[in-house]
Amino acid sequence: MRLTVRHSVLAVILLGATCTAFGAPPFYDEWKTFGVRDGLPSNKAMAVLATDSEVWVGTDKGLSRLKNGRWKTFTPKDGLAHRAVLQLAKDPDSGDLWIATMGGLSRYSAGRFDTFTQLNSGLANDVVYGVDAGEGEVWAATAAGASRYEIQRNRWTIFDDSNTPMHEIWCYSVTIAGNEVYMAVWGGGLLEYKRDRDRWKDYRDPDGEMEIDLFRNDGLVHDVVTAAALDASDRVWIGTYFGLSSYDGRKWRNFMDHDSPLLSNFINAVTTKGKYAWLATDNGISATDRENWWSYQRDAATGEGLVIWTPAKGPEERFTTKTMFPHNYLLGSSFQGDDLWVATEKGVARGRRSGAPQAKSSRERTKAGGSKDE
Amino acid sequence: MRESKTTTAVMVAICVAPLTLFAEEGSGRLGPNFLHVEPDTGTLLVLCEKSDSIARIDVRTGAFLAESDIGVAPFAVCAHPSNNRLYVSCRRGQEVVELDASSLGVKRRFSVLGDPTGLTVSGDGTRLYVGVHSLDQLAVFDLESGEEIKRLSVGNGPEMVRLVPGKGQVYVTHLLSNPVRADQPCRNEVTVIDDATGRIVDRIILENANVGRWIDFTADEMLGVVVISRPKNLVPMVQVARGWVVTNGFALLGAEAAGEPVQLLVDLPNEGFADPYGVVFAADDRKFYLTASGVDTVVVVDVGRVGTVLSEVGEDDLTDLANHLGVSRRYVTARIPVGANPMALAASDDGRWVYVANRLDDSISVIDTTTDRVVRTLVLGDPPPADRLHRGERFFHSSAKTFQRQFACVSCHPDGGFDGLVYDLEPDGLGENIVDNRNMRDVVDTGPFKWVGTNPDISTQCGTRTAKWIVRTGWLSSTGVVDLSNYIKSIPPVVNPYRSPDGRLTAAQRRGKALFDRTTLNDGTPMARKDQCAFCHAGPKFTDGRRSDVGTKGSGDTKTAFDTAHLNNIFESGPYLHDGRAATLEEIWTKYNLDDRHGISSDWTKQQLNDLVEYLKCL
Repeated sequence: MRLTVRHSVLAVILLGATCTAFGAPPFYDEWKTFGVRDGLPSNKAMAVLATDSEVWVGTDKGLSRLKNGRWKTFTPKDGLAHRAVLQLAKDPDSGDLWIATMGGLSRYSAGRFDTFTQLNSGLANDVVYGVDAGEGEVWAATAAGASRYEIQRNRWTIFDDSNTPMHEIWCYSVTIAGNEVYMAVWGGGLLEYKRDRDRWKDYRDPDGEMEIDLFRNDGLVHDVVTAAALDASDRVWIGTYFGLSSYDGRKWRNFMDHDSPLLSNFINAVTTKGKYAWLATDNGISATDRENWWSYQRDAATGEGLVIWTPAKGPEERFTTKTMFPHNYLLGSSFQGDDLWVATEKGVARGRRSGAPQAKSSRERTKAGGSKDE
Repeated sequence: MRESKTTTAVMVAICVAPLTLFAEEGSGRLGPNFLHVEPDTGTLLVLCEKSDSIARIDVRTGAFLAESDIGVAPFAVCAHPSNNRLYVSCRRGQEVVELDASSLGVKRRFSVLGDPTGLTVSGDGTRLYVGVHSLDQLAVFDLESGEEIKRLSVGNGPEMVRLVPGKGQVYVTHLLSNPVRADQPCRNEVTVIDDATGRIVDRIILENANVGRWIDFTADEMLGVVVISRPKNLVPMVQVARGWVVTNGFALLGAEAAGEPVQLLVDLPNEGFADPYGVVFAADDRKFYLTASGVDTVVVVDVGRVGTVLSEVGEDDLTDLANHLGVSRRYVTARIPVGANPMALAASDDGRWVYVANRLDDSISVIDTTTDRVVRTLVLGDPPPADRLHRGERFFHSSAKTFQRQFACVSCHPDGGFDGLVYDLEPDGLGENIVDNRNMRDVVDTGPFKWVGTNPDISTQCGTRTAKWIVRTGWLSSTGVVDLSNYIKSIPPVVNPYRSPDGRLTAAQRRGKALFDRTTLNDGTPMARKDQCAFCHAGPKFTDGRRSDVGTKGSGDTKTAFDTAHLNNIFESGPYLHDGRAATLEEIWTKYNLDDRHGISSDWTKQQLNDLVEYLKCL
């Protein structure tokens, strides 16, 4: 037993050294879950956004903020557009919070809610799946196209099938990345907008097949795109319901759950930190820089976590953690320093590195779609 | 035929003559509207909105020591912490001008989209904060590059911007209330920005307040004063006899009741002190001085006495003080007559003197704070004799002719515009026939007037009708009414940030114009003329001068047809429709035209609605 522990300690130390060498994220082994009993209006967390001093959580019954250790909830009575909050974005310039809801787009700024709907503003549609803010603009991904709000000019523009290559107008999420804006279109691939040239370009699945990827790395893995994010190496990571794509401007690389450590092809959200993309799936969360992989899952039976480290070279390592997020269906993630926050079906959770030695595990990861939580 | 030509010529002459006359009248005046005491020298910088200039004057003699033309309609000035540079916002010039503090020479010009108002430099001297009234924004400039780096969405019509260095915060006051429902009282906002991050950290709401103007703080920054008005727009305006139209006072930042700043009045039970504008602490912060611009008076408030009053009132009753006309006697220690339309103030560094800019007689009153008396009046330059336009402007800004001097035209039409509220004007019952306050800018050729269109011209609107329904006094002579009308006609439009300087329309505006001008539905069906936007909204000001029933009669309305609203400058005049029910232009059609009686909008796509709104905003 002593030998085992010693080996585990050594493994973690070596793992840490390896991770550091690769610039890999920390090993999150200490998880704390927040839900209704902590003050959230619902355990169904559909979005999470962490800043230096606050954590915002969007649920199906309102928006909550964790500040100075206390949760406060906002609902339509406070001015929120709708109780179902789907995505959150912080404007890095103004600090305003933009809130995508099922009933419009809200702005929260120092205690004041302003709501923009299809009836009172230029917003394309009230079903707002995604939002991002930055560079003096706010972009909304709606069920009827994309909307851009130029803050300085107080001007709205709708982008849909009439003025972009968006042959489907069901926009699922949006990401502002400097000069580029990436629009994830459900069934329409990924659209890239160059702000300086006012030009759109679409990235589509070359084979157009629903269930298979005919030629590996030939382009976007699938047209049902749910999310996109840019990493520190300017690679675009694209989450779909049928796998993961990354594109560095020249080459595509695609990953699916049967040919990579990706936990599931069903990717709900993508977040980047450094060179790593974090993929919130219906079966846990995976992180990768294309070569190395972390995967986090919860064992519904024990409540313990299974963490798998798959380095580019060398054997896969498996660890058990005593705590884990409350459910494997994840809808979002966000970083607060080195802490990782995830939004799940049964609450929001914060992952932290304890630094304590971890026990290795021989447990198998669950297969996509077969989560024990179901 | 000859006779016809002559008639035409005479008509043209009649039409053109007033405009020509206006152009000649009113010139030669300075219009001092902002003061800044220069450190060390004690000289006074005077912004002059009518001459588009800044002047340095000797505070003992009023002699001009330096003068510089800067830009159109200068509004406010602030100094860089190094004291070697000044910044002046030019409201109609759409720019901020950087001046050399010594020579007053122009160093740089920063273009601003919209109309810049108050401004201040960050504590570290690297950024400039500029209020942009028409877009409800605060523009932030990097002073090294001169580039605008971001805009913050502040309150409605930012007015003054003030750095409070010890707090590391920037405070922004607002002319107008945050949007409220037509049947709800107004809420004026003071926005607080963290100077270090340049982000909004607080929005202080002044309940029932509107027309927020200047703000000042004590040296220790423990107490701030915001100048406000308190309109009673939800009760019939005929209650003027009871002092229930507009009251005037200030809000205290640092003295809260139930979490809200305490508000106090400067009015007396039988005498209003209309249109408070400027405020400055002086005399070791024991007093502050507040201009009541509508009554040509400076009101002196003793801070200690205010504290005594507040300490004697239970916290639950503090909010009642905001409506108490009898309490100001206890803390207002002097009411000092000054020149015409006093607005800006400044205190000397030692707090001994307070300087007051009398905007409409080009003078500076110098108040000795030890006696609270005017010891000198410095006449700036050589003001020309009052002409008709000038007399009209003074009427517009004076409450002298209103019952108990409670309010002036400008009280509800601040800066010659509007106050963003709906009013229950007439004695026909509470909540009956409420009407949106209309913009007074650029009203030539927009008659008839009133929402029910019963007044054919401005003279009728502002003559007997005003006397009967609003001011409840003998009002003006017929000549005075003409002068007032002429002045109102001379009020220019605000700068429209949605309009391209070269007049070209954007692609969206062009599409919107096509929709505005369309004669067929999207499916090609010809439209009846009455359904076409351009049929009723015709002519240079986009009104046919008639009344139309567009299906907006409300439960409290006794009329069904309303004046066809002119559309010029409509971007700034929300809320919309006769009773202000539409918070935005979009809502005119998305919420209040479900029966296609206000044009046919049911076949529009969302894209078309957006295009139309873009077009309307640029008119």
